[in-house]
Amino acid sequence: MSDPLLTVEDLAVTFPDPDGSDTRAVDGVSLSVEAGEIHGLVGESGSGKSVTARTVLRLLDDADVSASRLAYRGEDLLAKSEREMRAVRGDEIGMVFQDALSALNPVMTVGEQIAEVVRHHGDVDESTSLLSELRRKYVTGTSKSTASWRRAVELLETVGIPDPEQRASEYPHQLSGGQRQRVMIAQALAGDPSLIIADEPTTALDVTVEAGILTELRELCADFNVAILLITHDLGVVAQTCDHVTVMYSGSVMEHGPTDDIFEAPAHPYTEGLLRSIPEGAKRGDELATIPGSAPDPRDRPAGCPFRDRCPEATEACTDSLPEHALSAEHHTYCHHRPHEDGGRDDVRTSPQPER
Amino acid sequence: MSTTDTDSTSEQNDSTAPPRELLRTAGLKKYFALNDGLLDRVFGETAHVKAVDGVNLTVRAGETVGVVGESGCGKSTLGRTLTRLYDPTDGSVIFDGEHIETYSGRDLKALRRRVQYVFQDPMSALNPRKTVGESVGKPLEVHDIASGTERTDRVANLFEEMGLMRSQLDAYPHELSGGQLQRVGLARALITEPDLVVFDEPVSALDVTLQAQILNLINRLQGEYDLSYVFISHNLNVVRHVCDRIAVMYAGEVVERGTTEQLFENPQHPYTRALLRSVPSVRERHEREREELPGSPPSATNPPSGCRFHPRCPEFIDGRCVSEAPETRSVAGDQGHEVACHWAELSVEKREAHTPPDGAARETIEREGASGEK
Repeated sequence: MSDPLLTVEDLAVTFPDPDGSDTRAVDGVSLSVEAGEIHGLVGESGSGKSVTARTVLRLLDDADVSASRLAYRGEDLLAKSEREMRAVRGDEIGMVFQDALSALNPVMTVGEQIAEVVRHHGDVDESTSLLSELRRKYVTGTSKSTASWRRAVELLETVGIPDPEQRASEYPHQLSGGQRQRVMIAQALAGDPSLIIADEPTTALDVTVEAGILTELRELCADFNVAILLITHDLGVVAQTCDHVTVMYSGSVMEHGPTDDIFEAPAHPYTEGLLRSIPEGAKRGDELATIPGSAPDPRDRPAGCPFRDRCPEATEACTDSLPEHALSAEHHTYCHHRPHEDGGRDDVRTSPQPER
Repeated sequence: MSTTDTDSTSEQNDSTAPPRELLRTAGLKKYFALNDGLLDRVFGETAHVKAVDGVNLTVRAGETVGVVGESGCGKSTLGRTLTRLYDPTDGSVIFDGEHIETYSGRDLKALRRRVQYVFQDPMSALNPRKTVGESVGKPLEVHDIASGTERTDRVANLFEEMGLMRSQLDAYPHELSGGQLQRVGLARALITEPDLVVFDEPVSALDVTLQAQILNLINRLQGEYDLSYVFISHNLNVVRHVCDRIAVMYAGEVVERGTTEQLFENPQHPYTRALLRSVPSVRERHEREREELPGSPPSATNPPSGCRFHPRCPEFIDGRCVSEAPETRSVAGDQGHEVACHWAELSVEKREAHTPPDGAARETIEREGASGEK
């Protein structure tokens, strides 16, 4: 197997607090994204999934980041200068944010915003003379014809926006929520990246629209061989979109593996609890399974397994370490009690938690 | 849309009479004026956003009625109008036998005690400068129900009932988590011991584990306090779990209504079917592809002619869809199930033989239908 596109190993992100109570948002996260796959990063709010994604692009400058490895195509992202990172952002790794209305520039047409990325990417011939540009603007009144503009229109068409020529010269507020989200995807594609990080791209949308956006992402992934790191709290989104899933809880990875394994044979009490709490198929009046309690405060997270206070199977062992077990080459869980006792534990590797 | 509410009259002849009606709206409308300036009023016609446009909804004692639809379909406006947070433009709201659409002053205040509203975002619904204990206790003071230690005791007891701790009475909203805040929101609504509670997307902002906790709580409280619920949500999985009956809204109108089972097992309106097809599924992720419903909800100012869903309808029949607004009618052989679609009058054979016209053919029909209407 060739090197993965993105490798994150033992990532820790801490937000320093002058009072001394630092917030450790991410604590020992490892994940890898292969070229051309859709990798789901699932977790509740506050589990550190967005922080993990933003750290990959080095978008958080007030955080202390440490990792034994944070590599894109084998290149260390933490060693790059700010200038070199700028070449990575957009050109190599694109980003789609949850709230398109606040991520897009309200006073610029969406076509121009996409064209800007195309120009920044740097391989377009923009040569139009001032004279022809003036004639276009004041005499013929035809739409823009620069290469970057044409590319922007093309991209809008790619992401499934009807009447792209017309839409390109509109402003974000004139588009619907779903269309704005598609514009963001077009913008992320404009730099021709190999990886797109999509942070809750459909959370604010109706289910009817969400289904379309997710189909779009899957098609892009296949057509352009783009890998997507899809961050979401919604297991329904993951189930029908992703190839691999990483489940996060309170700053740590609980389990990761192929989507089918995670949904059909979950091997962590937290994942099992998550799947049981989905109301799908529940009949009127059924008591839904819940996970009692709530996630620990990231400023004061217990050592060992962060889930142990809510875990029905927690024992003494859970207070001091979070061991990794490989159930198969791809399916790993971080739990003392999985696989179950009779399930064979030859491949157990215990990694003690870093001291705090 | 005109409805003959056959379900309630016919069911009363049954040996097991249904529980009494607690709330009934008839032809309820809520329009918002768009350009309300003086000049507009004098010289022009005021355009209106027809957020709710003739809705009939019945809530019986002890049941939960779900209202589902895409954002902008008017479901929240419906909830706010039937609780008189908004004044209806037209139509009537009968609560416990009394017309409440004209209530004001003292009557309205008394009504507030019996009808409560739980908002989606408790963080913005609670006063950030007051402790949550104060916020929850305030209605007791406003309605002159209890004061002093009695008030404190009642709030503390209700907090425990909601799964909150007594120590959290003195917390400010920002000190609590999303799930805890929604419990406070529930407590604030239940403190006056209402008969009807309207929930507006109460769990949409919550993670799935918290969502399950709150839904269980909502279900348990209904039995304990003998409450009737109106449950507004876009999440069909949640609605299925909570509701006895469901009304599906599109562009300000109810397009289909029935029991939860009827709607999920035997959806009659193309819009309901499209909604169900777009729901994400964890269990059937291989068996069933999610399908997008193309297009977006129509303008609420100038809704499409005929059936408001026709421009997006994947099961478009013919010119009738464009020119004639479908009546709400009962679904044959399915008591209490009503649908507003021209499909309802066609036989099964005709439906199966039908292939929706597409592209140019459909455009022609739509153009002719539109001009024919004018």
